[in-house]
Amino acid sequence: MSEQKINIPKLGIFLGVVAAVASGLLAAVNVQTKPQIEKNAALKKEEAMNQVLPPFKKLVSLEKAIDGATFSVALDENNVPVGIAGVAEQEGFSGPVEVMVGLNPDGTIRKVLVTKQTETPGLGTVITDRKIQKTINDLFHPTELVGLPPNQYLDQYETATSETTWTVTKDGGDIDAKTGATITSRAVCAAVSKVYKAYNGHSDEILKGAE
Amino acid sequence: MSVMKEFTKGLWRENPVLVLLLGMCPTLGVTSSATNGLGMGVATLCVLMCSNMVISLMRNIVPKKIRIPVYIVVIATFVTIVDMLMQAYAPRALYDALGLFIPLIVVNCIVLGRAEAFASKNGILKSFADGIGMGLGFTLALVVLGGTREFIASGSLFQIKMIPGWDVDFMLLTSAPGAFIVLGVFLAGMNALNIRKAKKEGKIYTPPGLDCRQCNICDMGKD
Repeated sequence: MSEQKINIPKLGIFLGVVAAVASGLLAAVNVQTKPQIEKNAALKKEEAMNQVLPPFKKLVSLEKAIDGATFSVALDENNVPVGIAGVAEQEGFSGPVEVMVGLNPDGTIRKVLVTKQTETPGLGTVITDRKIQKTINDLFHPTELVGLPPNQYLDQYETATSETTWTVTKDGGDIDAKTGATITSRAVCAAVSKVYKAYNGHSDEILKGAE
Repeated sequence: MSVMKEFTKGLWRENPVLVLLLGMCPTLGVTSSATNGLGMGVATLCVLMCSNMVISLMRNIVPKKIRIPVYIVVIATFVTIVDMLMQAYAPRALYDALGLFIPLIVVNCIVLGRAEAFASKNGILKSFADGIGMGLGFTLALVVLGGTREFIASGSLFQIKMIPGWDVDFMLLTSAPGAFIVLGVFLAGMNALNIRKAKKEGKIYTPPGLDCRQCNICDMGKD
């Protein structure tokens, strides 16, 4: 090894200058893109709301969570509630599973949508994804799909009543689970039941909060 | 002419995935479908192009002792910029599919490897061509690997069912072991092709680039 003198301050200053230029650049891009990114996130949420709720005029979001679920109430032009969207989260197989449940004012479930998940592709995602399976025939004969694509595991909640036992069949309940994705099924079931029970237990409070 | 050569070498002769074996982590991780492979490839291509150019411009002023930290700062900056731009302006479906993988580009060996092995020793035009070539080669390999896995697993390509009625997925190919199996088969095939070609010309095949050009870590202490 040659005894070479290393100019440490010079190296430090150089690295500092590079880092400063880089942070300046990042700050500029951040300022430029932030409004658009926030707009996209809001748009995504709004789109999900539109999918689980009937057509509405105004949306009032309640700030306080009730029993682990947050609610938004959709009102028509006469300020009459037409639907309620409830969001709840439950730990799944590999991270939180977030569901958005569209409820009718009488407490029955209108539509269930999974808005956030990191489950195993091909197993857990069979439960959570509403996806249209395109086939090669569709390329030549395109068909228009109306509304949300069906998913039997999510659609089953629409027939839930107050007598439903909110656990998967394996645990003695009424909810169908997919073999190999029991944990995801349990998570979706628990999250949906959180919203269902919170609304049916506190519907007056929720509807009053929207006025 | 030599600029053209730097561009084409990444596509086949020195393909980063199948010959240089760089960037195995994203390769194995994201190639569960052709769409994912394409997205990851294009995102890496953008970062590689920019970082190669900037590092080539800086090659004469960066002190050798701190070149690696400087490269990492440059690469991380570009990755973050690409991430923010995509989040803001790319179609949402694309960002939803790729958002998870973009931060991974920072630790992708291809980007740092090309910066160290090529851009820090060559001019801006050559580095740019090298970046595009390597990026395209990476994209190509990922799409082919992803397409193969997707097709064998579910009979679809780019999420479009090619064989109607194939309802139950063959899960092995979309999960991690499938990635290793398919990559292994492709590497064997690539080697067999190259060995046969070399034999025809009466030579012995030696993989290019698997020497110290790819990694100068041993020289770190020297100036």
